[in-house]
Amino acid sequence: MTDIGSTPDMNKLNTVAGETLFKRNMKLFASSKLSLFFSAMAIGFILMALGAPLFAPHDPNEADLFLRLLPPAWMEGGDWSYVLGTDALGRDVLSRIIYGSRGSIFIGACVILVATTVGVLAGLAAGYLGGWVDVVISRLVDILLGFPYLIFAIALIAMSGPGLQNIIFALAYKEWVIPCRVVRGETLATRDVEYVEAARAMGASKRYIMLKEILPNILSPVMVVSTVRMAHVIILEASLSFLGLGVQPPTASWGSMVADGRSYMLDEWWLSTFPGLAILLLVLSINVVSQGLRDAFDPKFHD
Amino acid sequence: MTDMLKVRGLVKHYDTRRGIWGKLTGNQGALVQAVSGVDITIQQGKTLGLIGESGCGKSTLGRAILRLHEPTSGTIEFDGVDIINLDAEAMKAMRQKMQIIFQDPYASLNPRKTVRQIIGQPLKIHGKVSDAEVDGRVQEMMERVGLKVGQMNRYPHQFSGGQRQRIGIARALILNPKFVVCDEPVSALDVSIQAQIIELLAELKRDLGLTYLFISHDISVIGYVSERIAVMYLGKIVEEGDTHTILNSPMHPYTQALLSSVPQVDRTGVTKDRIRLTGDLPSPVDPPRGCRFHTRCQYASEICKTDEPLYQTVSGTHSVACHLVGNSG
Amino acid sequence: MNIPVLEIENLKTCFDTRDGMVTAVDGVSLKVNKGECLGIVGESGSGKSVTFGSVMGLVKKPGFIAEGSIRFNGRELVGLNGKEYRRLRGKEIAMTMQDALTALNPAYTVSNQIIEVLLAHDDALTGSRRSKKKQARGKAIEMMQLVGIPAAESRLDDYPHQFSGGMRQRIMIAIALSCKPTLLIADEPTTALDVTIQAQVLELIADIQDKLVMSVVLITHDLGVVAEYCDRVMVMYAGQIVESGPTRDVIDNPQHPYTQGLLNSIPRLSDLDRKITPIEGSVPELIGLAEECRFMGRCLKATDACKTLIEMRDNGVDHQVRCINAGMVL
Repeated sequence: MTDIGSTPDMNKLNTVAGETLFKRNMKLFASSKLSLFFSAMAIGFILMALGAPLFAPHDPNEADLFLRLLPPAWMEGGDWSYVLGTDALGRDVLSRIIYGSRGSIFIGACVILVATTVGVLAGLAAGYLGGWVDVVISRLVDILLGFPYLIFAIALIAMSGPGLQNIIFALAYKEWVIPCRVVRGETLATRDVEYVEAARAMGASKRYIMLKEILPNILSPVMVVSTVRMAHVIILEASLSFLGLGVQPPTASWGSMVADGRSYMLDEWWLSTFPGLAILLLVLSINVVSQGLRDAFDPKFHD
Repeated sequence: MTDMLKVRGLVKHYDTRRGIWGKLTGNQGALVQAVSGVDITIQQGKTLGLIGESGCGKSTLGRAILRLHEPTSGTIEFDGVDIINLDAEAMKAMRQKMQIIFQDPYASLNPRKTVRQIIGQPLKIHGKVSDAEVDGRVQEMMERVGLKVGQMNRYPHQFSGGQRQRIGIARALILNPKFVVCDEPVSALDVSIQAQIIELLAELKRDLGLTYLFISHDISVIGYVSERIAVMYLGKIVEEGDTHTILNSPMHPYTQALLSSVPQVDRTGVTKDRIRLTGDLPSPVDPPRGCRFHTRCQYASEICKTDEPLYQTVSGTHSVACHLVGNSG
Repeated sequence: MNIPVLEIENLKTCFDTRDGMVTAVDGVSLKVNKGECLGIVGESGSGKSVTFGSVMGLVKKPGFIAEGSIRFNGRELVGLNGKEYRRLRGKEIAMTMQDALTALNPAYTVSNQIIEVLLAHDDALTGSRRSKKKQARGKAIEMMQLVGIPAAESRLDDYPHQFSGGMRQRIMIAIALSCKPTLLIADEPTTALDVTIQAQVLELIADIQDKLVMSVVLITHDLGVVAEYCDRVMVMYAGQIVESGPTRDVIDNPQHPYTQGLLNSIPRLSDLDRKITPIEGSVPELIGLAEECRFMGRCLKATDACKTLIEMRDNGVDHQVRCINAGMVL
């Protein structure tokens, strides 16, 4: 029934034939200039990472000791072929930032991919199947949530060495519980909805119901959570490499760049500042995009 | 005239009690006695109307009969087959013959699927049918229920309540079931649309030879669509008989009160001869001892407070569970 | 009866949505006299709730009152500022909503909610705030007893979720009546209730109406309820009133094809063998409606003459219809 302040059947008015709710929400997302701007920035970073050899003016590992500690080009003593200056070993800061994005973004994406897949499957199983499956998974989630994250990550890498796989594992081992909790909650809420009952009445198997009926309907919050967490993971990875446990030298990584520049903060400030700025911008753009997605997909925020 | 459905002693309890743990945490849980021993028989091609107010267990009964909620005990014989003891695979096959139409046209359709996918889904689950065959059947069903075939690729939110209910009906009937549980199929619709759906269901029943269990709280609708009516109160059937008898000469005090409470277009002014029930509906967690209706019954006597009345046949096909009727006790 | 308690003249309420201007209420005029019970019948999209939401000043952005006047006891309500409205609301005009669970604040006890209204509006309370509260509490118990809530005194401090649906509806009525308003607007008071509880609630309203000489507007889609409890009835369709008159008259002798269609489409317990005839089609969109009869697409009596603006015309004693073919026999 109509209630005061709303109009009849608004849903019919807001979409055109064949347009899915997803498409409509994406259109809403795209209507916000802020979202578009930061989406462009995030995509820019991704392109930069993918096309690093094309964009970087120099080889990130090429050291020229005669050109060490050059300031950014617009300052006195700077050189336009080394726009953001050089580090203590004479390596071009800009090129190292460009190549460094690869590590951050790649690791961030991998971790989120792994964590989300595991988390979603675990959450679906816990929420829909209930019983001992739920008990086991929920207790596991509770235990992991209590882990002091960084200490364990450090211990893990100290034990097994800082390879790429180990880094991804160290970051993902706890990360999956976040999407898992979200998905479990949503599954619990959705499993008694009538269209799920209808599927049961038709004789659909449990697997079918979990994957084909429930999952598509809870993807929105998962998408939003994943983008937010990606920003978080990137910072975590930067912390790891800041501590020397991440991607190892001579490979460029934003975190280690910030760390290396610490002792030069007073005079050669650009060594830490620009990689720090890069982290900031990437994380900011991901956060704004995820916020925009959440607003676009949550019916309470528009209409 | 064969019996399509024969239910005996069906019980469905939800037990969330936690014993000692419950006492410690202060959350004792409860035993919800939703359905407490129900006998029902429906003949082929007929509609049994199931009427009752909230908490009486009628929706639970409908779902328990289809084993959507597993019955706690009792027997269900469908088309001669005992379905309670069927294994998962056999039950899946049986589901093609027994379907359900839901009340809420908004919650009963998956918002992420197109109409074509929703209606065709049962076919895909049950058979290795080609996409072309599925499409053909879907189009056939859509026409039959009065939907435009050209709208096949639209999503549920693009349709009105009445149209969504038609989609739900098409989905339920695409496997050619023999028996359909209609759980308040028109209660959530506007009055003028209700009539459309009621007529559609009647037409389909005639054309496809269906048997219905029609659940509703709307007595006028039930009276119109059913050949027989069963009245439910707090998990038990208190009266059952053919429509005319129940509506014109009800014997159970609850049925009488129910019928006198219905506001009717032909009556003017507040009627003084309305039977007033005092108090609220008791909850199925803690049903009254003896006859469950005695706390609100104007005729309640001593025996009603202690003994449960037997469900007895009073005349022909008219059965009642009341101490003051027939010769129980 | 001098001036009517409520008089609405040509009310037009619109909603400025992304897809266009939705005219939810289009030129509605009506009167409610002292002590009478007026029934408003309509389905989704009829505008019945928005009309009275406008009366209560509850229409918020993107909705607004575009035209028209609403006079309560002679006083113009359109354009009143928030403060003035708040003084009126609850005290002289009260409204109950359909869903009592969401209309009552789950975080506060029932006593809190009734007392809050009394403290805000009841001028008969005297003394310090503390003593006012005490008096208000006494009155709250009286109200709960009046609406038939057993053990009122002990249940006064319970929360809404501890009551059943019927009880909650009665609590809402108790809150609405606590300041003895002149006009009670009951929006679908019994739609969510069981039929036996529905009867109790409706009789309660009729009872109180007698005792307090209150005017009641009963908004519903149930013609049976209207037949038994309302003195006059107005039938609304797509934002307009299409028929109005004394209840018995409209029901026994409906003039508008929509009213006739409605009456023909409901099963009647008194005559189950009578076939029901559905009204084909559905309610039109309320955006950009042409100047013609809105029921035309579903009407069996429609002619070309219906393609103009149709006004309400008299058709019998105190009986009005928005139809030029009202007398036509098919």
